[in-house]
Amino acid sequence: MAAEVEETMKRIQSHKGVVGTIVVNADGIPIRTTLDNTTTVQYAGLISQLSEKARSVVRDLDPTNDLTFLRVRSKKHEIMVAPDKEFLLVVIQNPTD
Amino acid sequence: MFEDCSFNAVSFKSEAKQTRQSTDGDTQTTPCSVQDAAEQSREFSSKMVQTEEIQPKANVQYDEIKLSEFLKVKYPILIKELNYPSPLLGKIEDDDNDFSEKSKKLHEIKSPFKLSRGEYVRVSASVWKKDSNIVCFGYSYDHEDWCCHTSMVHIYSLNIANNSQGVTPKVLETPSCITSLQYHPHLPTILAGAMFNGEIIVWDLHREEPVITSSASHNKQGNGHKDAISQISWIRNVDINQEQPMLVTAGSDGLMILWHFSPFSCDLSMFARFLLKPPPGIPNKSARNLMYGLYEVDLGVTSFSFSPHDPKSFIIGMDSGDILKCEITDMYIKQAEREMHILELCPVTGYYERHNASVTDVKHMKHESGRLQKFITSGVDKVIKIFEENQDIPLCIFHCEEVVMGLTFCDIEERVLLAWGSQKLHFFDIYTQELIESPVLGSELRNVRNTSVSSNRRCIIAMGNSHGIVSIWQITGIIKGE
Repeated sequence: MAAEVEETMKRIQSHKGVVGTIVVNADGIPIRTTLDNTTTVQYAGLISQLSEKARSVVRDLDPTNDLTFLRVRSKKHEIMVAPDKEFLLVVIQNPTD
Repeated sequence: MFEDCSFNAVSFKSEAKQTRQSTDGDTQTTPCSVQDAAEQSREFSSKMVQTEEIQPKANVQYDEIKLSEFLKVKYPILIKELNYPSPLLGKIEDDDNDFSEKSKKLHEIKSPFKLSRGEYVRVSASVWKKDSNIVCFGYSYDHEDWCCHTSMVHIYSLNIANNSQGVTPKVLETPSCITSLQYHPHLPTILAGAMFNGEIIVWDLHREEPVITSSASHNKQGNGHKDAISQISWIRNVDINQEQPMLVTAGSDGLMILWHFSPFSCDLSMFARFLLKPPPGIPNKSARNLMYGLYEVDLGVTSFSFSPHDPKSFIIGMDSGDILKCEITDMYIKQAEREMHILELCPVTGYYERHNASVTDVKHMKHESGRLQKFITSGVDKVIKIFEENQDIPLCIFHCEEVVMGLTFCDIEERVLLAWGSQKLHFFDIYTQELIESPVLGSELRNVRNTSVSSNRRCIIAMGNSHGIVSIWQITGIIKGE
């Protein structure tokens, strides 16, 4: 199973423009990363909070709805977040690459 | 013979007990320390970034199989997103400005209940979330006596027009039939419901487990409603020092109860309890006693409305057709606080000209600032009356073709009063006191039991009938008079 996980991580990482990939658990703790330690911890903590907040917004606006994907476009990067109950997949993409 | 001579000064110990310190008379001030205002900085952290830096743990335990499954599911979604940079969201049909049709049917939602032959479930309550297209419906069976059913509240999001087939509701199960629903005025995720068995239920829709508070009849005092609750409403706190709105319920047992609700501790506690018996000394009591066969009876409350300007003043409509003027005095509030809520006070201070049959609805006019407060009542006698609070005789009376079951104002046009019956909507201009229109909305629309109007600018009306079918109509054209 660990090999499968690593394989998927590599495939994501090899995609054009992908700068880094992080898998975060429900507590906001990074469990897999392709980035350095400091950047990983920063992204994991902040993005998991943002994702939780975004989910709350979607559900507050419409209780029958739920967050499925989150994209944050900035001047330099685009952060893509695939949320789930137990894990969070965060991919940082440089769209100009 | 004389010579100049100099001697060194000789010191001696003073005999005084304390050595005095003296300062110059011109500068009797203590030294001041001066700091530049621009440099008096303090260390603080922004409210927006009060995040703690998470230190990576050496060995984080997680399920490798679940992680693998998670990545398998998310991988194709992620690749799809990576390949399509910032796609536009699906175009939502927006016909806000299309008023060419005076009324337009948007949705029809059928009953979710599986019913046996001859059994019907009706839409007994509906409420729109403020400034949104989210609507809640409560359902109720027909009752001959006590309720032993379970029921549901359905919450629909109607953001995409003409998509009633795809609308899936959020379902909240209830232990009894629903009679009334109301959203919290400030917290959009708090929804309060009243039930036929006299219980109150409050949901926090944000949580996975939605029921957070319930069972007013199981409260500490054990003296909630003993009969069906006819209306539930949020009002401004009667104590002006408190900001949290209060919950008010009134029912067929002739009781009106004020509840304190704390959204943080999810606690519902009784504040005061009013028994709406006609008190002694009220004018026309002899006539009333004749009417009720010389016996004092508990009068069922069908509807109530609190003044938008004074939370202590309210009007009550009764099963008997009576319209009561009530007031919660400061003395009542102090007494309720002192005697731990268990009070049976009568807040009635007067009566208005009664309806000849049960009162179906009472509503205060919201936009009457600077003028005398007015309110409107409707009854089973097919009459709508407009009163001024200080006069017991109505200012004007409208006669309708059918029983008026409820009243509502349209937020986008304050002059328009919507009165709804089982087959028709009646639109009145309350300024000119004229009937605007009485459209029949669709030949299939029969036996309407509940109607509510959205507060957004599209002016959408939801009408639920006695067969559990809800029709959603856009009536902006009628309201705008185009």
